[in-house]
Amino acid sequence: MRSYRKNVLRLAMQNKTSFFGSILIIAIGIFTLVAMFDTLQNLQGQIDAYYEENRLADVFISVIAASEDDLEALKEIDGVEEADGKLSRDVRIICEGQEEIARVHLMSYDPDEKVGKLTLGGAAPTDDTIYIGDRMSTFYGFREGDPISVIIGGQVFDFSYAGEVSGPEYIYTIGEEGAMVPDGETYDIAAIPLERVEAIMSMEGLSNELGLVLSEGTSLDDVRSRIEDVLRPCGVISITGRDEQVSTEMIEGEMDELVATGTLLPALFLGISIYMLYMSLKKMIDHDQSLIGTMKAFGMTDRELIGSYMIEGLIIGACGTVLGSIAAEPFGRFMFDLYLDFFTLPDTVYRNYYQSRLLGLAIALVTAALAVLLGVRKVLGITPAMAMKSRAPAKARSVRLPGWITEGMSALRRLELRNMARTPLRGFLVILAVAFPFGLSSVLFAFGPTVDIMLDEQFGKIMLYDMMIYTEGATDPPSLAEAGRSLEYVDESEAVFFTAMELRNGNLSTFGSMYGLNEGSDLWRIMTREGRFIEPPKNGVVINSRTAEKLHVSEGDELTVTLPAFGNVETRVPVAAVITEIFGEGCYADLSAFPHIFGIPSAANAILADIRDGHTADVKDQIRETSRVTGIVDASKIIYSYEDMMGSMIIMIDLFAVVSAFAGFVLIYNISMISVKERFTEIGTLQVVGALKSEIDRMLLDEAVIYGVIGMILGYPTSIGVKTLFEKVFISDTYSITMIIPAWTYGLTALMCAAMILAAWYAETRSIRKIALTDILKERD
Amino acid sequence: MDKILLKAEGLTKNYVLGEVTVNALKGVSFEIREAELIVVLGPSGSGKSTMLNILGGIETATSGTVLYDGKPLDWSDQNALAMYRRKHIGFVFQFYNLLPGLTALENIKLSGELAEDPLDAKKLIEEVGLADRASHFPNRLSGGEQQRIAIARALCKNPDILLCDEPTGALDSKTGIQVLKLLHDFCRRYKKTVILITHNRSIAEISDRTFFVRDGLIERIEKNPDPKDPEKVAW
Repeated sequence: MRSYRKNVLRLAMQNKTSFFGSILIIAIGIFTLVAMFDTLQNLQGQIDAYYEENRLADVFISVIAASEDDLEALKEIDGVEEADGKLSRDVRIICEGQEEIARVHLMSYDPDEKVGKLTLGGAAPTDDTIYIGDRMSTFYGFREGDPISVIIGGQVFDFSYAGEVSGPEYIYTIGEEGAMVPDGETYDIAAIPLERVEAIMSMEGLSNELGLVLSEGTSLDDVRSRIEDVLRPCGVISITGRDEQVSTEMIEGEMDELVATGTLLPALFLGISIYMLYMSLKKMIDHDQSLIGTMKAFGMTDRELIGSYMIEGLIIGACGTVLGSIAAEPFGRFMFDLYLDFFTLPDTVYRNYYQSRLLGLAIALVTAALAVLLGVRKVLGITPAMAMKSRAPAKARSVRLPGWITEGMSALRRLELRNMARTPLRGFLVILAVAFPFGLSSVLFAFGPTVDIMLDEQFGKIMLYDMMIYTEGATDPPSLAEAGRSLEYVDESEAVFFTAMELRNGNLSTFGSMYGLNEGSDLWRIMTREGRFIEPPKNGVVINSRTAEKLHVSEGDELTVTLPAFGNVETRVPVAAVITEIFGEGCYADLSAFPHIFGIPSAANAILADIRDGHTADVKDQIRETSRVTGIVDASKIIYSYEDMMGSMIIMIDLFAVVSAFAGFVLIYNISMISVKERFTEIGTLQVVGALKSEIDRMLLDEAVIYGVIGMILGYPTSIGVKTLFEKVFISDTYSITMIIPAWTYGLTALMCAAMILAAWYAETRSIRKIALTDILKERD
Repeated sequence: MDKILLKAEGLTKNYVLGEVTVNALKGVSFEIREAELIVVLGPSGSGKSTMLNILGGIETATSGTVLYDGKPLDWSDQNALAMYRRKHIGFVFQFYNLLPGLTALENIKLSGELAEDPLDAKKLIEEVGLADRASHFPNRLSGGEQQRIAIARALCKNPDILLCDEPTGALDSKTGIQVLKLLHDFCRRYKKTVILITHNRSIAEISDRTFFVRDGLIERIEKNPDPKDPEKVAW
């Protein structure tokens, strides 16, 4: 038994290409699996623990003001386990070294709070201490005692920096308007003691940011109407569940992507390795037929024989796991760090999870065992008598080629075509091995250019302003536009309006922002993903397709719109158009028609400014000291933040493009080598008959080129499928992607595939140089 | 029949197998004339196949030379050896080595396509009595049929020398005689040289000369004054 196992392993080592190729492909699968799952577990584990310890709310409610009694009433609702509230407001801060207008989401801190507990670091809180989020603290290099002023309602309040603050619902912290990526320079969270906030905001005993913990088995939909009833007098601005809260939604989306990638890619790579291992073992069994018959004659059982081959499979599986796990650690760490650029977590230590490796090992062993069983099942049919006689001639599929193809074709060319037709599965897998990296890589490599095009469209056709300036309260639009124009270096200015809203269709509702834009605007236009411009309607609203989907409405339907800032009056408004946007999830109407559409006074609260080139800083200087300005959006910074976020994603995606190309190469190489080795007798015979090596090389090249071309042709529809998959996967509440695959990415991947095919062909030609003609001719084909 | 077509001078062949060196040929010299039918007899491992392979240019000698038509073979030039095989040598193997992806007729044609002055493949398949099997693939043919196709393939190139390594080794007596007849006819009708390796002593009766090989040496060469017709050979 032991000797036979040794024999099997020695023979396997003689076929190094297949042996190590199978290990490599399994390793790639395990690498992806372990890296993704370790990243996922590191993030998810730490996030879950954080949620648990700080009691993240299940429901987030924003109101104008709610009293202690309202909170008590909420607790009375069946299914509500706990209710608590904070006082919060987005405010400007002033600190040393500031070049941008910085805002913070200022919250009250109460050591006894029961839901969404904030964690403070540093000195103990006093009346004049302020705690700022980690990102902003790091950016400005705050130290304990640093003076920080807060502007609320035009008044300046002075504090001293005491330390950092973090909260479970602010792992991913972004400003409300336009921002996409956390940016410590312009936005973060802050906390001051409850009593101080109450005094500053003149809201003693009140709260406006509520959190509810629901009892197990209760969903938001079960209690939504009761909550609305209780809080109706409080001016509900929004009610969202965990799945819609900005931070948790973003995290959830990222985790889902990790799970999808961590499942799909390993499955793909492990499937390939099953085939490779199967092929090499099948070949080995064919080769060992006499030996197996002899061993059976000696008394070895099928089980013992299969067990001997199984060991090879298990060694391959185990080696692949070890290799993949080792390679996974740095990549997992890289991915984790990538996420930490966006997520603020109290614990940032990366851990290696043995569970991922055990899972990887189990999957790799099962994969390898499956391949072995498929490959060696022929052992069962071999009888001792077979060992005593020579093998029957190889069965060839009798492929008839049409006369119009073979006419005028040399026998070598016919042989080429027949070889391809004779082993369609092997050919098909070479074709797939080309189509797979071609389709996947062409789309993956197109991701970067697509992002560039998206940003060009968004900031070259839609948001054309250089700066958006938010003001405290609302003003008459012409006056505000004039105020913008009065700033030095501002060439053009428009006033716009945005306000929180609730859209409702029957029982379905969603919260968001309503934008009042200007007809014929040169600074902010509405454009569909397909590039069609739409004027803001005067008799209805334009809504985003995702909103329309949520509310089950389409063009021409009516919606109920509530604007909490204007007394919760409900208005029935027609849907003028449903559009798919590149970024954002807006709801738009003509600013001048607001009184007509919503029955509210004409008002604006933001200035769009077109600034002379090179004078953005000068404009910022003019408005920095203006207390009525609550914030600014510098378009160039937004573009940068989008590029920053997409840039990280592009790195990851490009890496997968390279990994998929590498896997494709390993596959093409291995299948080609298996194929050529199976044909050694045939090729040897051709050589003996007098075929020149160059002619045989040419024959193999022709085959490789035909497979390659078919693979690339098949790769095109594959790329369309992958593109569609990508567009679906990458639709989020903040952006949707229409992948544009430029011709050059097809060209690049075609070159890459051609290089892989040529490299595999070159290896084939090298291997046939080693054919010992005298040995080959002693064998039966 | 007087022209010397092949001449071997002091051929040696050593195989190094790990720490052991096997001397397969120990300096053999001989001449083979045009249109001769030579049978090489010898036990397994005597060096007869090595000798045949060296003559056919698919194996190189450790020392010594082979002259074809007075010109030495260049062992270092693989392309020149391939051209030598292509133009002058036809091989017939014990296990036929037909290409499974080509039909019987296409296997014959393949060889013809490589040659400068090939014989007609269709005529050859008729001559080997397998015209009705022309479109069959090798796996549909019996052992004898495969060997007849393999001979037709070797002949199609119209080679000067036909080298046959145990061509009847895997065949029954009736089929074996059919195959011998084909080789014999080729030699006599087309005035071509045939060198045939076998274990079967009775086959030597059809030869013009018989080489007896043992332990890497040609023990003796016997001239046959009255070569028999293959059909009269007692198998």
